[in-house]
Amino acid sequence: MKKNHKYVKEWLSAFVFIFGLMQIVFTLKQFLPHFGLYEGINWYEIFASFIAALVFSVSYFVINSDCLDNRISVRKRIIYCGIPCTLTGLLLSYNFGLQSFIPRIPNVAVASVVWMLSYLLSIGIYVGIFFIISIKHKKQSVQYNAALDRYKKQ
Amino acid sequence: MKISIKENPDIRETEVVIHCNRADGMIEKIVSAVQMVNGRLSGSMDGAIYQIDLSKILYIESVNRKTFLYTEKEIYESPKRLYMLEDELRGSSFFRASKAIIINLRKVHSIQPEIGARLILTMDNGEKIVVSRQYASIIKNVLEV
Repeated sequence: MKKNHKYVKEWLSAFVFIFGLMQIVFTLKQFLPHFGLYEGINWYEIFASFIAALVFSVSYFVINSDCLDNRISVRKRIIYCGIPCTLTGLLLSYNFGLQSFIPRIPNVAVASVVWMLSYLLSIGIYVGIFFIISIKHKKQSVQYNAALDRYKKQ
Repeated sequence: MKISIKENPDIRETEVVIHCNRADGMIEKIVSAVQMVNGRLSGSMDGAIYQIDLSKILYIESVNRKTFLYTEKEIYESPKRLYMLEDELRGSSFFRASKAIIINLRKVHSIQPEIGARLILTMDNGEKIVVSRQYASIIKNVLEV
């Protein structure tokens, strides 16, 4: 029971953090020149933040939590969570993100192209994050193994 | 540090005495090394009781309130509980990897960091052990990284 509380707390803190971060991003977006003066966040954006926070926090929990370690490998979890995460990223970026500028670019105004670009960008961000993490882990691995060798020689 | 060995044919059991100003980290390491040379744990297999050298144990695991000692080829059952062994092995190269596992750091072949601040240890026999976030920091401290 105590362990379940720990997991709920872990997921909830991720959810609150992502939801808050999305609110800040939407607020800052209003200050961009393209969007004109600040008019506040509308209900649609709050709902989008909520859904995105839900998907991202659950994915974070599934990938990061140790309760699934013995059942499914981290690599598989990253791949499975990649699907809802990139789809959410697609919807967010298409409706609220940089892709909302694309229809205004001449000759790239085809909706399907914009959707595709949005999805590619989402996949790029998702893969990019894990690429950065894996590079960091490789560097750490070299450092840890060197330290292990030193320890064994003592 | 001065090292002196006094040989005496009348002595039946070898005794190691350390004269020091203060028992600091270095002294603990010396004690640990001596314990590892001489240290043994008892474990049973197929009804027979064996004395197993600490240096041969890869890790100790608790499963369903039973404690098992894993060497490269054999698995022995220990009469002691995991927390008792943890106390006995304090100061040696044995450290907690999770609530149910104590690993011998000298028998770790490689360390790989994992998402969620965890570590994956590949033991000398190729087995992989996941060190939970809670205990990963202890191992990092020991390795001074």
